[in-house]
Amino acid sequence: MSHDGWYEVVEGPDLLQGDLLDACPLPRFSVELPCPLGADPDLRLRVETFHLVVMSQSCDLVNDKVAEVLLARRMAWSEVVRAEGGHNPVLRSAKFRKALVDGNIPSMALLHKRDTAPGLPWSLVDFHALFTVPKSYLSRFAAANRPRLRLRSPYREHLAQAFARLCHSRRPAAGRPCLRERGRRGAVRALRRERKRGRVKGDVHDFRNDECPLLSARL
Amino acid sequence: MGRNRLLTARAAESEAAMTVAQLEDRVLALEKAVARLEEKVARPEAPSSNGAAPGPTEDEIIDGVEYDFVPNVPPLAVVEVRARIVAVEQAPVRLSLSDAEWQSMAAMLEIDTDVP
Repeated sequence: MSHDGWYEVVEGPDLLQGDLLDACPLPRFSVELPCPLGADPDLRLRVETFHLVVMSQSCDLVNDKVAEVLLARRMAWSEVVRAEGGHNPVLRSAKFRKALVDGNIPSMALLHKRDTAPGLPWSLVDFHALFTVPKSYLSRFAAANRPRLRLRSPYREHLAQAFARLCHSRRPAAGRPCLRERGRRGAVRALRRERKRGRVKGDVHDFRNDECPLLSARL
Repeated sequence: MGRNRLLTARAAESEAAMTVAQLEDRVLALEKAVARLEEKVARPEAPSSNGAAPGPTEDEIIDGVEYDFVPNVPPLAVVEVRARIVAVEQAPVRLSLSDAEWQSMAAMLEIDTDVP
């Protein structure tokens, strides 16, 4: 097992929160799915491959307390820009990118790139694109998908906190933005408290120390 | 007098016949119950994902106590159907935010979306 900044390289079927899985095939219902289902409906499934990150809690996974694993979709930032940047002025704006780097976009989290193999581009985790998959299937896929990356502490906890912030920050008021003021700075403070208590190791990385492409003047 | 005796005898016979019918019903019900139990013994309920025996029932669970089991609540209904896989492909790259949420985010971040 080698260690490298944000990630460690792992192999095998064991799953933990923060595990990254590449090109995992998931069956998707067609939008034309009949409802209610008849006796012998003509069902058509599309199998789409997604880059994923495990969001279920590690203790639940290790102790077999969950039969289904919660996953969030992960996409390369460059691919998102290529696909959506042309028609989405918010995505292109420097303010949005700065908010994303600061952890102030609740529905997304940013993952640092990794240059050495297995590599990873700067990536977005989209907390609005969630899946649950049987653990047995995902373990088999993880065993075959090797070597693979696993977020190290405290980035694993940081990602989990970002997801928890989204779950707690939703407000039903129509038209009201759900951005939470505390954002990443508050999460970093919380993580440092946990570090003092010995629950997490290391300190939270500051994206500003890197040449983060999101902070460039123009896309 | 003779007629009364005949009626009484018929009533007793009828009562006895009802009792036999009830007994037959009970025996049938018991046979069904035994068959169900035998089937259950031969094919126990699905265990939790770690292969352990099913955990305590809902009535036996104590509040605040952590149990080492996966709640095995059966689904409301199981409908088995055949599906045809029509495509295996990479999922299209797009963020899952709705247009309304992008607008909301633009307002929050004070981003002018009219600028080309």
